[in-house]
Amino acid sequence: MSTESVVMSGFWGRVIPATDADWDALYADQLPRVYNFFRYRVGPGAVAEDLTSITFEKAWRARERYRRDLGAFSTWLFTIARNVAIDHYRQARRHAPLEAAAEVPGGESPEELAERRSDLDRLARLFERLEDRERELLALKYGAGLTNRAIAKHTGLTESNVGTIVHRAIRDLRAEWSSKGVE
Amino acid sequence: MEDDRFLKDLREEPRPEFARSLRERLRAGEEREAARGFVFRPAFAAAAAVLVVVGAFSVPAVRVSAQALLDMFRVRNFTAVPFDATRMEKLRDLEGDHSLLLFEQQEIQKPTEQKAATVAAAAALAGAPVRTPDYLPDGYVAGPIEVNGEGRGRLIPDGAKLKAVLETLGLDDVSVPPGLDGQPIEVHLWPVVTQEWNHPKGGILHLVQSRSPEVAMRSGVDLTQLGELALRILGLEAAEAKRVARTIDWQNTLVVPVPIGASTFREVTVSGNKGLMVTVERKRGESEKSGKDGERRNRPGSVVMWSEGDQVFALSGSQHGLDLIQIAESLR
Repeated sequence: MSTESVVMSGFWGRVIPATDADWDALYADQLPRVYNFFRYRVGPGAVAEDLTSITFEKAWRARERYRRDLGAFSTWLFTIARNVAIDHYRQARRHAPLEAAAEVPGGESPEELAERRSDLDRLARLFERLEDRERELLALKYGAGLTNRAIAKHTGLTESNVGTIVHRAIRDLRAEWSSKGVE
Repeated sequence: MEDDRFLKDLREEPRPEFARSLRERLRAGEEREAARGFVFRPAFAAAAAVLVVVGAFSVPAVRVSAQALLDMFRVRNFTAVPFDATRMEKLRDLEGDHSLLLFEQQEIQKPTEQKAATVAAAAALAGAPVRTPDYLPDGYVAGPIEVNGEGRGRLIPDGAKLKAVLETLGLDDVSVPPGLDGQPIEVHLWPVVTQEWNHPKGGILHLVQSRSPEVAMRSGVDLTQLGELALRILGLEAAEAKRVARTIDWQNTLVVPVPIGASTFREVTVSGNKGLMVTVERKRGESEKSGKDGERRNRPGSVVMWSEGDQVFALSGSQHGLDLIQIAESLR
C-alpha cells in the first residue's frame, strides 16, 4: 500500500482502494450461482430473475467493503439472497412456476424443448412438496453450487446435518422422479 | 448415472439480455455513488480526501529553528465545510492522474489488514481496548471486524505539482505557501478497528475507532495560509476560505467536507464530548418509497464523529441521526 493510501485509508476507511477488485469477473462468476439458487428456491423464470436483481442491487452497495476479500463478498451475497427469498415468500403467493418452462436458452429442437419443459414442470412440482429447509439446502447446493461446509456456515447447521438433510431430500426426490420411469 | 444428476442437469445460464441489463444497472449505481462520494462508505469518504489535501497540511504553525521538536496534529475537534461536489469529482480525476500527485512518498511501515471474529480478538490485534455498543436497533447482526494495523509514512510535498493542481482547478489567485516544498510530513496511523452490523432488510452500521492519527512536520509553514489553500481547492470562494481558515484551530481540528445541497450538518454531543453529525439527505424530487422487498428506499444516512480522550470514533449508518447518537452513547 502506498503512503498516500495509508493516509487515506488507514483511519478514514477504505475509501479509495489501493487496488481495484475485478467486479466484472466477480459478477460473471456469481450471477449464475445466485440465479440458479433462486430457480431452485422459488422456481425458474421471471421471479428468479427479479429476485436475483434485488439481491445484486442490495449486495452491490456494500461491495467496496469486500474488495480485498471477494470470498467474503460471496458469502455476503448469499446471505442477502436467502433473506430475499424469505421476504418473497412472505409477500407473494407461491405458485407453480410453469411459465418458466418457456424461458429456455435457444438452440434446442422443439422435441428437446418439450421434454425440457416437462422435466422442469415435474421437478418444480416435486420441489414444492419439500420442506422449506430441504428446499433451501438443495437450492444452495445445486443452484448456488455451495459445498456442504459453506451451506453449514450460512444456515447455522452442522456440516453433518446438512449432509443428512440433503441426502434424505435427494433420496425422496429421486424416488419420486424415478417412479415415473424417467432416468 | 449419479444419484443426483437429475438435479444438476437442470441448472441454466441466465439469459444474456438479463445479465447485461443487470450489470448496466449496477454500473449506473456505481457511477451515482462516485458522484455522491459520501456516506455508506466506511467512515469518512470525504474526510479521507481532506486528510490528504488538508490534513497532511493541517499542522501547527511553527515558526521555529531547525532544532525545534516535532509538533503534532491530533484530532480533537471536527468542523464541517460545505463544498461543491463537482470539485471533488475533479479532485478524484486528478488523483487518477499520477503525474499530478502532490507528494513524493516514502513508506516506512505498511499497515496490515486482518479480520477478527470477536471484539476480544480485534482488541488483541489492535493492542488496545475496543469499544462496542450496548444498544443496537432490533434485527442487526454483527458482521466481520476489520483491524488495520499501525502504519507510518512520510510525504514530501512537491511545490511544482501543487502549482499544477491549482492551475488545473483554475485557482490562479492562490499561491503555494513558502517553505512547504520538500518539507517531509510524518504520518502515524494507530491501529484502526472497524465493526459492522447488518440488517436483513438492507440496513447497515459501521463503527470505526482508533487513537487519533498524527501528522507532523518540522518547519515554519504558516498553517492558516495552508488551510486557506486547501479550502480553496475544495471549492470555497476566496473571501469565505480566508474567513473559515482563520476560525479553525488547525492543530486539533479535522475538516470534513460536506456536499452542498446533499447534506446537512450540526454539532452534537456524545457522552459529553463535542462531535459532528453529517446527514445525507434525500435528493430533491425523490420520495421515500417501498421496494418490492419491503425495504424503504431513498433513505437518508448519517455519520457521527467525535473524540473521547485520545480516541476518535465514527459511527455511520442508514439510521436516523438520533438513533445513531443513542447507539454512540451506549459504547462500552
